[in-house]
Amino acid sequence: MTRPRDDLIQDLAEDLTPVRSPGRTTGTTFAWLTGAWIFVGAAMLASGSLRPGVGEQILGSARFLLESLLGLAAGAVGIAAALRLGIPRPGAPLGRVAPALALLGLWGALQVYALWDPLLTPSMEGKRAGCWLQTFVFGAPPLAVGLWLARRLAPFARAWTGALLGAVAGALPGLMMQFACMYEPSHNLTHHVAPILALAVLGALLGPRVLRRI
Amino acid sequence: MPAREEDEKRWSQWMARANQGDAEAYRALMKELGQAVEAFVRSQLGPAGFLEDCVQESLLAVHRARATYDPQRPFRPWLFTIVRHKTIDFLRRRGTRAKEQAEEASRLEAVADPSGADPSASIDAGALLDRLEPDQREALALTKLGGYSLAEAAARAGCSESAMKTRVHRALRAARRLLEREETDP
Repeated sequence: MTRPRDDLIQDLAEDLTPVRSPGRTTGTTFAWLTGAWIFVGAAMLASGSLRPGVGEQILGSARFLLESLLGLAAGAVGIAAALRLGIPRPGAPLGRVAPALALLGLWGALQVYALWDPLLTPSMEGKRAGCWLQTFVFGAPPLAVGLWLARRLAPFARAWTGALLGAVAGALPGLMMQFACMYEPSHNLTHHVAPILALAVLGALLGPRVLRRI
Repeated sequence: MPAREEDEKRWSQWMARANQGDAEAYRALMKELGQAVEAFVRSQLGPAGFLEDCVQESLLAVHRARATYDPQRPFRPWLFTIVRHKTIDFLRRRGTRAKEQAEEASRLEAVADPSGADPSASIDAGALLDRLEPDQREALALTKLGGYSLAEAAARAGCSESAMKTRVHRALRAARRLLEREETDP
């Protein structure tokens, strides 16, 4: 039987604690991005060096530079959108994450397009052993931290939130692999982009289990 | 100032104070929100017997999500996003409460037309149900509002149990979409 509403309100008032920075995710977004990039960068450098001549490759190819910047932007917009899903606002979740999905999708589509029109001359130079696993493993801690941060919010679309967090967490090492591992479009898709999708699936599976039901 | 805007301003101020730890402001806020949520749920689902449960679950959700309210943004869209979500969530989970369902079914039998006319007609007065397809509306009214089991609802609707299950699933999905599409608060 339902208890009197006044009793519930009394209990909730007694449970009340002050909230710091209510309703804001901007600080959290920047903190995640900074921490995740430092972690992924450090892990990449600790596990091997960057591809020889990658600096000249970036500066010598406007397309490479723009594509890298697009990847960076997709990561930033993606984490912002994933955390904002935890703030109750009108509108379907898909509509709210559409810009982030569009950027991530465009970046992914450019990796596919490179099969027909490679960004650089394909080469084995800089090949890393276990780059698939490295991309996945280096993306897992940022995903875990992202889920922990989202847990403190109120995400209704928990699978979407988890999937987007996974995709963004994977995109960071996936993008770094463009600078660290060999460049060959099909290798790029199967070893650097595929782990991003795997992390997105993992996030979608973890989201409903880890994120709290409001 | 219209009453709606006054509510908006007062609720926003109360919530901002509550988020700083002011229990008095929070009590006053929750009391008014309880009435607003009750009016909303009643408008969507009609005079359902489980209204109070739904209201209290919504208040609990507001409490859990209170850290996500930004005082710089309007209060009502934030509130009703939570309430809409909880209403659908509540309906979805209602199928598991067997005892309560049985009580609701008895209640429904009492209010339904004794001539055997459509029992959902007595409980489908809500705006949300009115916007659903007729078969989905009937499925939701019978199983979630009326408390019939899937088998009983299927027998009444003249379809198989699995078809009824599909209708209920689709009805809930449609209801969620309808509520999500409402960009403006009630």
